[in-house]
Amino acid sequence: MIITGTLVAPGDKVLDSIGNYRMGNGLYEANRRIFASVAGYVKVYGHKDKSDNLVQVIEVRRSEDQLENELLPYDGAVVTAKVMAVGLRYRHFFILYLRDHSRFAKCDIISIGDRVYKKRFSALLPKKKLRPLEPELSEPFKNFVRPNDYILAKVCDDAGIKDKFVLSIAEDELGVVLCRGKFGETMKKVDWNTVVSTRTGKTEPRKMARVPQKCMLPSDLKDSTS
Amino acid sequence: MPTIRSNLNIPLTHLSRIEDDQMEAIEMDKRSATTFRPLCVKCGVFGAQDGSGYAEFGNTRVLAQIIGPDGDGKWEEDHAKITVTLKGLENEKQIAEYRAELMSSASSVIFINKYPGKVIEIEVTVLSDDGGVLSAALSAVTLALAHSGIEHMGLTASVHVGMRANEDYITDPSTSESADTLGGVTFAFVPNLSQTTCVSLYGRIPIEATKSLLEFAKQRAIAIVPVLHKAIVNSIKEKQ
Repeated sequence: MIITGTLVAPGDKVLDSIGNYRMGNGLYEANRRIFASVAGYVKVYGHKDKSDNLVQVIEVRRSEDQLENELLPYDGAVVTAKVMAVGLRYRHFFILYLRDHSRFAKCDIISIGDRVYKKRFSALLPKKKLRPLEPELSEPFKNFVRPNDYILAKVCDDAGIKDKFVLSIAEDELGVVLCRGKFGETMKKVDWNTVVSTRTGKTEPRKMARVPQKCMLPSDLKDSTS
Repeated sequence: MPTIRSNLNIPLTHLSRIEDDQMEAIEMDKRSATTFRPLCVKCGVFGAQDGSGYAEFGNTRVLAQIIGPDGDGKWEEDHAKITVTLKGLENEKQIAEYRAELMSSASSVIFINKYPGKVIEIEVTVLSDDGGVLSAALSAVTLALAHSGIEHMGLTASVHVGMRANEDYITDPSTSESADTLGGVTFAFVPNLSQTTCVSLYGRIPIEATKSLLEFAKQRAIAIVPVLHKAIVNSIKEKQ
């Protein structure tokens, strides 16, 4: 019987059989035995599943910190991304959505929390994940995000798309955090759905993020001090 | 004061030993058929960066580094793409041969389905070649993999065994030691699944002798497992 906190190398047998445990990350099953797939320490913790049953999850972690533990953006993580293009027709959906020209916005994930990735990961922001509780959205993409905007988004799971991460901004705290106008000037927030250009005074629609108080944007800080 | 980020050091006296045939000859006399050359394995060579490993068998020194999994705009398959670059060898044919072996061995242990649309780059640098480069490279790669945090099936133990004309085996021969051998084999396998990932036979080995040669190689590979395991566990301890 292996105890919590035991250091394991990849390929070490953690359990003879899974038993009552639920398999977490860093483990795999082969020949009905459970082996570690990463180097780290064993951790067992209680977790409540969907039907409110308490299950014991066993996993191998590299670090106590979730950010350190995961190499890639994980499900439910809040990431900072840059919108690269809007109106992209995803390759596999090409025939299905031929008439609709903007099903996805193409994004690049830059950082997760305060950890910046060495290389960007490409991600997609589907139209139905722009606003909560509105699956069929007729409004165009430009009312929410535009190319070159920086957004806060949540990574979510999509069964159809595997090679890219799928993002969602369907929460009040998520959305645009930084955007620039036509001439590269900064755009100031008017309300949660509008920004105004500091140069031309033109207003544009955007879905702004209600960033929690403790991590305010620099422009917000200036407003509150003046 | 300069910042010291790496905790690996290779003594200069060791580096100069490669020219010293005299010393090697003494070493060879002392060694039995089943013992390895003095070896040093290290998991995590570059302090701040994840995914590096170093293996040293006698005067053969190999450094491996893993970059990724990274996003790549062009790769859209539902599994990861693994690339291997081999540096430090001059023989083109040898590079191509070793690269293919490293590639097949690495991609058979990595769970490539867990990293769709990502690219994993494996960079192997041969610092010095004194026989058994492939087995040293395989060891370095498995250490680097363990350090990188990429999910894989287990560590790969690898060994280079030479065979003499009188059917004597020699474990991990150096270039001068393998001068009188008929041929040899580089053998790698994953001990926890007992799956063989690499068999690279060369030379004039009689077909009826291969079975016992491979069996001997497997026993020698098992002997190296605790060393690799210890290096990996030590690297986790250091991290904490």
